Amino acid sequence: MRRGLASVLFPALFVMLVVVPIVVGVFVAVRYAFGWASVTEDGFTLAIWTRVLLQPDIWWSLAWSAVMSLAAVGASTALAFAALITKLDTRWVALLMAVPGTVAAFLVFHFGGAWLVKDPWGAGILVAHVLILAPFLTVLFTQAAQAVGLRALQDAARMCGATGRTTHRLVTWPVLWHRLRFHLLLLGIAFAGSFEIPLLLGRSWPEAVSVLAYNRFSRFSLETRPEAFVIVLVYMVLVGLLFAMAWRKTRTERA
Amino acid sequence: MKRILSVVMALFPVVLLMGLTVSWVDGWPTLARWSVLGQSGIPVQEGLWTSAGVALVVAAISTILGAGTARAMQASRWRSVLMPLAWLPWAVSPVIAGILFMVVYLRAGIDGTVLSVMLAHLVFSGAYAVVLMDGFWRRDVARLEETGRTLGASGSHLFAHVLWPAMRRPLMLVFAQTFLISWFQYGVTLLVGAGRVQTLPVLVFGFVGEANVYLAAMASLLLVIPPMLLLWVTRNEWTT
Repeated sequence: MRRGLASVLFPALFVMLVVVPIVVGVFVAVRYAFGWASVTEDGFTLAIWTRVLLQPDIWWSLAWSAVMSLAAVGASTALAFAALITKLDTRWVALLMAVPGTVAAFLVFHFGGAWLVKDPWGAGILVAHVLILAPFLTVLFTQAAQAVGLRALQDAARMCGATGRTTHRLVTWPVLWHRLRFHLLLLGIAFAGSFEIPLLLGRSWPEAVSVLAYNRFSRFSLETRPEAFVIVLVYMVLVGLLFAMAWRKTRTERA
Repeated sequence: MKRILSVVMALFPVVLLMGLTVSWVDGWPTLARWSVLGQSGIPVQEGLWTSAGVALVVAAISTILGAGTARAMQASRWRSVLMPLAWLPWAVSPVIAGILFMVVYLRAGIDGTVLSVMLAHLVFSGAYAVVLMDGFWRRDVARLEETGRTLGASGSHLFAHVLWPAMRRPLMLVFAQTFLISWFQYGVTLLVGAGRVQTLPVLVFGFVGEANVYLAAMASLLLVIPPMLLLWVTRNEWTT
């Protein structure tokens, strides 16, 4: 009986605390985006959508966020892989996971100078992202290596005559990639929505998509607020599609 | 050599931040600047307690929610629906979620309160706890439990001698990770807290905006050191 109650109670709490706020938020966003709740529109309209989607800002922001995220995940993956094969002490490297985005952004902002603050190539954003992501990936790679018994596989490859480099190219990397690619995609999605780092270190154009949505939402003029909701909905649909594709692919491969 | 390199890398941010907070008196470094934290009008101490309170409550609720929900999902026919929903917050960046929640909490009349910030953090921490605990329950725990039951163990006996020893480590890890998610949260706190809930990340950005480097560095250190200690104490759980 108690087990039966818990099996209903916890999922119900989960839905109430995690799912309902997002669903209600999306409902409100849809109302604003289509003019039903907007102070500047009289009722249903597609004007806000056409206004936002025909401006280049949103597309540049989405592309900029995607590129920054890809670069951060790529560079951090390379560093984490290097840390794994050079056998850095993960217990110490893991301590860097205690540095949040706000502090990473502040450090780059203060010590980065003109090279890294509001630079046209987003180098400062990349450095700050790598500072927080690379330690996390190093720990993730170490855990994955232990879980799959990577050392035994590497030893077997070496016994068959493979050099260190060949072992890493044909054994270490493919094994880790196969196990962690879904995680890397999730991290890519998470970093595409990064806010505090591009807010402090990025230029005013193009803005990261989170910064663009925040700026449209928090402007004094209420006219731009529905535009923020359109940006939010476009972002969520794109990320949702990407996530659904990855989820489906992973499940198909497992089956 | 590799250990020295690892130690230097790990402590580098702390050393940089510490360097910003020391003042030099007769050629010697002092921590005299830290005395400003006790002065009225400097909200760093308040921010520390707010951050700690929010993160502890959120982590405790998330851990219980994660353990209970993930367990209930194992035998549930709703698993195929609920599990993808646990990944849903990944599709919503914190600031995007902050925009969505702010309007909802505004209508509910709880915007700008500690409660609204906790509820917003719970969306991310709670979902993550479910994902983490799902991995735990899917391993051999169900078989262990079944074996215990077959051998005649009662519910409380089963919990005390089979489930709790197996759960302790994953629960500790989930608690630590959800604590960190809440402790580091900036975007969603900024929006949902409406500037009235001043956690440490919000204060760090505020000080940077005011060009107050010393206070930004002090608040940053207070933000970094507790999780660093937590990670060090639980280092064997992360790395083995």
